[in-house]
Amino acid sequence: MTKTIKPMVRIHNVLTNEIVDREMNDAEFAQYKVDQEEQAIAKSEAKAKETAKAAILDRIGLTADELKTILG
Amino acid sequence: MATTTNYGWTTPDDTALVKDGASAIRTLGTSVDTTTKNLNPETTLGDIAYRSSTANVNTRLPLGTAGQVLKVNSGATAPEWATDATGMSNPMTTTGDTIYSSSGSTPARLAIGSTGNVLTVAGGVPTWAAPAGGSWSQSATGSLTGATVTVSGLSAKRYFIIWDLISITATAEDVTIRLNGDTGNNYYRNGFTATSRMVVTLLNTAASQYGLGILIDLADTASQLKPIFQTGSSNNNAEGGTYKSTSAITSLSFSPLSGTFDGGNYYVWSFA
Repeated sequence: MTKTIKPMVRIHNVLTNEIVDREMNDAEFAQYKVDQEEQAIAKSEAKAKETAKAAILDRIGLTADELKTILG
Repeated sequence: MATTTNYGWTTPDDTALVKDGASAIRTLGTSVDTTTKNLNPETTLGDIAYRSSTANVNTRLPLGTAGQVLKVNSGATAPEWATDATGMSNPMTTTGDTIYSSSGSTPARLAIGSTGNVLTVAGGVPTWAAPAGGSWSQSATGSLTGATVTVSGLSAKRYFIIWDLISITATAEDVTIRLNGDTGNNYYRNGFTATSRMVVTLLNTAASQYGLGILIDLADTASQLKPIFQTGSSNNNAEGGTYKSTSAITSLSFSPLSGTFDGGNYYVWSFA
């Protein structure tokens, strides 16, 4: 069974100036995966929005800069 | 009558009569005995002798007690056995301790203060305290690495944290901040909808060398909303936000939204 390689984290205690570099623990890794999934969804949604916007602009025959000028 | 050179013992003259020899020898012997005794007054094991104020007469100094040392007496006239002066008892127990005189010559321990404290006087003795009016001091510095860099042990009133030369393996990526590892929807960026982390916009281009500063005000620990102000090298990045929590903030985690840090530094300044 292969061990999952978890990302490293750095923890710097400003009171003691102790720096610990270690792998994420299970809870941190679980949250990390949730964050990554949320980020992937957000990026996908942003990309879809950009695509839809470009399609509309293309349909009405305007560039993004021209639209800015009109709205400005 | 003739005498010896050093001790003045009486000896017969060359012309003295033989019939007086016994008396002369007895007189000489008595003188030798007296002088010898005067020079060797020790009577007991451990005794030592020192010269008295009288020539050829030594004084016995009995052995002292355990631990005593040989000193000159208070009048500086003779040696004596006496207890050695006790050295100062060390009251320090912990790294950073210092010693001060608490009353007269009594040494007392002064434990190290907190980061940024200054040495001041209270009640006639030194003490570590926050500088009047407060001041900023650098608490920590290090390099960005891994998927998250957390600064913990936060306890001062305010923190200003600077990240510079931020480099992330994923290009065109923003960074995110969490306080106390809180993943709840308690972060409000520019008054927008609550999110589970404070996203900070960096300059979203292929280049990945950015700087960012963030000021967190923890002064009002009773407040539910902790203000956060940030500015960075983004197109439009001068933002404010709040963190909603009644808990004291003890840690701040800084992460790229994806990828890992592969360069950059952080500097933590605290106001106490």
